[in-house]
Amino acid sequence: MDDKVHISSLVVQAKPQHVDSLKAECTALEGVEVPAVDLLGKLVVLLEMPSQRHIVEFIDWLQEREGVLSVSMVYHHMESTQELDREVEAHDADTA
Amino acid sequence: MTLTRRDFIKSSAVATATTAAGMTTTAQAQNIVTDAQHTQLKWAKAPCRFCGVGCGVNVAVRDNRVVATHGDMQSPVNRGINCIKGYFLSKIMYGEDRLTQPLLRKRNGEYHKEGEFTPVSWDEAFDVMAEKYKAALRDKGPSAIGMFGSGQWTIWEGYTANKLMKAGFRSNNLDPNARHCMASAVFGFMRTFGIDEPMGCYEDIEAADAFVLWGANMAEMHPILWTRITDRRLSNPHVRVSVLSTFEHRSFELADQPIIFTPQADLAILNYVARYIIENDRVNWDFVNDHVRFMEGNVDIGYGLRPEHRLELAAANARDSAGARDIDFERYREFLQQYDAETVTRLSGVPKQQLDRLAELYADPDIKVMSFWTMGFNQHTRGVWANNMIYNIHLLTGKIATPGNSPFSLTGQPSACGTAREVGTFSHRLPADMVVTNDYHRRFAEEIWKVPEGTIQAQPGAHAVLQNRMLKDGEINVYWVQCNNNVQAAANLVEETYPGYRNPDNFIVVSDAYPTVTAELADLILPAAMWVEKEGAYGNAERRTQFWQQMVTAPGEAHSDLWQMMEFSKRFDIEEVWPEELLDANPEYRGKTLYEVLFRNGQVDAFGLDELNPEFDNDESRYFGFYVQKGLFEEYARFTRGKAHDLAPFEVYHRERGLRWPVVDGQETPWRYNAQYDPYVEEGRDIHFYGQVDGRAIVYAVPYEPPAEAPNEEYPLWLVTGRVLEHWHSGSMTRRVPELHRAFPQAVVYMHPQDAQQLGVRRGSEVRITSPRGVMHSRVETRGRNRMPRGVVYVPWFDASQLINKVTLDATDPISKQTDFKKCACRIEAV
Repeated sequence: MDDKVHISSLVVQAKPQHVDSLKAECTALEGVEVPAVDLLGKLVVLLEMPSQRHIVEFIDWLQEREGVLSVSMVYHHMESTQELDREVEAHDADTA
Repeated sequence: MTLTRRDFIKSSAVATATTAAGMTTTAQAQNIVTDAQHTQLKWAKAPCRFCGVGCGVNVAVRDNRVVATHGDMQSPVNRGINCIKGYFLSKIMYGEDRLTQPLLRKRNGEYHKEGEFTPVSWDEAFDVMAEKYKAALRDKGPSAIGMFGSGQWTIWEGYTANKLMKAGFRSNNLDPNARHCMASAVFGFMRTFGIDEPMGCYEDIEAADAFVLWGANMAEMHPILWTRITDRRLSNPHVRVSVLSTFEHRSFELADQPIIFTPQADLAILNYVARYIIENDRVNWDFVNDHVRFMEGNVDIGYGLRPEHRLELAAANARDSAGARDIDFERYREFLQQYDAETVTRLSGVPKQQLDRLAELYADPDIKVMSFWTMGFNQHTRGVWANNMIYNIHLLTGKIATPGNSPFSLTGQPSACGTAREVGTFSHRLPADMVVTNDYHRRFAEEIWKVPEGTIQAQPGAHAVLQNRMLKDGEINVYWVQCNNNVQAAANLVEETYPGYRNPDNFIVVSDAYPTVTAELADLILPAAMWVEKEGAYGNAERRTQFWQQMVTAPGEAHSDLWQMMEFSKRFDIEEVWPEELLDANPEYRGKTLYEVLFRNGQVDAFGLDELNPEFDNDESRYFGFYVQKGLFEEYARFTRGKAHDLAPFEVYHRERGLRWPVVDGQETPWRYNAQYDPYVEEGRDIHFYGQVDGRAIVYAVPYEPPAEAPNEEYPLWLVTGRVLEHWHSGSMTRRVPELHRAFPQAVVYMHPQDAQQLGVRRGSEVRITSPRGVMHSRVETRGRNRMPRGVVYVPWFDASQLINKVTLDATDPISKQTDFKKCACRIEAV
C-alpha cells in the first residue's frame, strides 16, 4: 500500500494580539502552512499530514495555545502520494 | 503552466477556508461539491447528526458508503465550517460493533429474561414482542405500555410514535429524552408566551452588541454558533461578552465579564438584574404597557422526587407547582426588594460591581443584547422559573423579538425542537403545542388522524423519570426505547433505572445502531438504521426544518425506527387494542389491523412511489408501497398550518437549506411576534405576543429557592455533570470514531488543585466519587479546559465505563419534570 496524504484546511479565531505569534508557531511545524491571516483575529491553516490522527493531535495542540478562541474544520481530502504528484493541466484547476 | 494534483487540492482547501472565514475570496473559491468529477463521489446535503445548532453538511457517497462530509457553504447556519464532531460525521455509521440483526435473550431456544442475547429473525422478534404487548393490554390495559423516544428521531419517526402510542395503543406513556434537556425551556415558553420555541434566530448574533451566556459553554457545546459570536466580538470592538458559570471553561477566553457563581444562585442573580432595571428607572414603559402583564407563581413547590420523599411531604405546593395568580407591577417591584446586592452576593458569591456591570448590559437602552442558555437553566429544579426570569428581563426592557435583542434558548439535540417539541412526543402533548388535557385539542387530533372521538386519553402519561419509577414498581410492563441511551443518561440509575429494566415482570425493547448500556440491559435489541441510511427531517434551535435524502442502505438487517414501528403495528387487530365500546360506537374500524387504521387511512398512503426522487433510495417506501415520509409529513403539517406553526409543502424542504416556521405563502419567519417579519401579528400592531389570548407576555414573580441537595459535612463537594467538545451525549456515536475516542478517551473528574491536594491526590490519581446513591471511579484532572473553583467538581457523562449517573440525584423541576444533572452533593476519596 502506498502512502496516504491528508490535505485539510482550518479556520482559526484568535485574539488579535496573538495572530502573529500563532502564525509563527504553526508554520514552524512540519506539514503546516498559514496561507492567509486577518489581523482582526483569523488564520487559515493548511495541513498536509499522514493521517487524521495527526490532524486531531494538531487541533488539540492548537486549541491549547494562548489566544486561540476557536478552531473550525473546513476542507478535508485524502489521497495517495502517487496520485497527488500527478501533473494536471492548469485549466483543470480553473474549471474544476 | 504545470501543476500537480497536490497543488490543485491545496489551493481548493485554502480557497474554501478563506471563503468560509469571510476573508478575501479568490477566483477559485467554490463549494467543495464541484470536486465531484475528480473523485466520482455523489454528493447530497444533510443536517449534521449531532447537536441542536443544525449545521448543514455535504455528504459524499461512493459504493453505498459515506466516505466524506464537509461543511455546506450554502448553509446559512454554518457557512461551510464544521466543528470536530461534524468533521468526523462520515465515520459514525461504521463502528465495528454496529448492530445488524435482532437479538433476543434466550435460554433453551426460547425467550428468557435471564437468557443470552441470540440472533433472531424480525418475524420472531416481533412475534415475541407482540405477545408481550397483547398480554400487557389484556392484563392491565394501555397504561402498562410505555415508550421512550428521542430528540434525534426524524420528524416522521416522532410523529409515527405519537400516533402509534396515543391513538393506536391509547397510552400517553410516551416521552422523549428531550425531557432531560428541553422540558424546562418548553414550560418556560408556554408559561410566558403561550407558544413554544425562540422568537429570534441566529442572525441576532450579527446584530447584537452584547452576549450573555447563562451557564452555557458554547465554545465546546455549540462551537459553530460560538464562531459567529467570536466573529462579531472581534470585528466590532464595542461588543461585550459576559459569561456566567459555576466554573471556568473555554468560553471564558472571550469573556469581557467572567462571572463565577455558586450553584442555584443564578435565580438570585436573575432577580437582581430585574430589580436593578426597575430601581434605576430603566423599564421600557411603552413596551411594558402595551405588551406585558404580571403574575406571581406558587412557591415551595418541591423537587419532583417520589411523593413520599421528605422534601415532597414538606413542600406546600408540590401538587400545584405551576399555579400562579395575577398581580400588578407594584407587587412585582415589592417582591423583588429581597434581591438586594448584599443578599445576592451572599447567595451567589458574585461581587456587586460584577452584578451591576452585567445588569447594565440589559438596562442600557442602547445595547442590543442576546442571552443564551441551555442545560444550566433547563437541568435545574427551578428550571422553568429560570426560563421565566430571563424573559422577565428582556420583557421589562423591551429587548425582544427585534434583530439583536433576543433571549435565545439553545438546544442540545438535532431535533429536540423539530421532533420532540413540534410533533409533541411528550406524555402530555400533541402536535403544534396542543395538549391531551384539552378536549378541543384531542378532538382536533382525532379528526386529523381519522380515529374515533374518545380514542386519545385525556390524562397525561408518565414522563421520563416517572417511567423509570413505574418500570421499577412494575406498573409499566412493556417498554420500547428508540434512538437514545437512557440508562446511561438518567439520574440515580442504580436505584431508579436499572431495577425497572431487569424487573422480571417487564419486557424491554431497545432499538439502536450500537450496543449501548441501555441495549445491554434490554430483553430484545432491534438494529436501527441511522442518519443518511434513511430519508429524514430535523428541526433545529431557530425553528429551521431541514430535510435529507437516504444516501446509503443500512447494514445487515437493520431498519429505521419508522419501519420498525409501522411493521410492528401490522401485528395487531384493532379489536386487540381498542375497547369494545369504542368499536361498538364505530363499527367501521372492525376487521382492520392497527397498521391499516393508522397508516392506510387515505392520507399517509396518499402519495405513490412515482413521487420518489429517482436519484435516491427509500427503503421504507419501497417496502410499504407508498411514499411513507411524504404522507406522514403532509398529515402532520395539517396540525401546523393556520396555527402559527405552518410548515411548507414537503418538496420545498428537499430543495431548501431549511426554512424557519411559520412558513406562510412560501416565506419563512426569522423573527416572530414582530410585524415586520411575522404574518401572524395582528394588523396595526408592532409587536404581538399572539400565543397569549390577550396578546401580552407574562412577567413572573418567582423567587430563589434552595436546591434539593447541597454539600454538607459527609458529602462536601458540589457535583456538576455535562459534556465535552469531542463527544456527543452518551458517546454512542462519537466513541466509535477512533480519532475522537483518542482525543478524549475516558471521563475525568475536574477539580481545583487545592481540593486535590487536601484529599491527598494529584492529577491522574484514581479516585472514588460517592453520593448517598452510588459510587463511581475516575481520575483527577486539575488542568486543561475546565478550571474549577474550590468545592465544585465536574464530570462528563459520555463514558460508558464511568457511569456518573450512579451518583447523581433524580430530583426534577416539579413543573417541567426535567432532571437537575448540575447539582448534587458528593465526596471524593483516593483509591
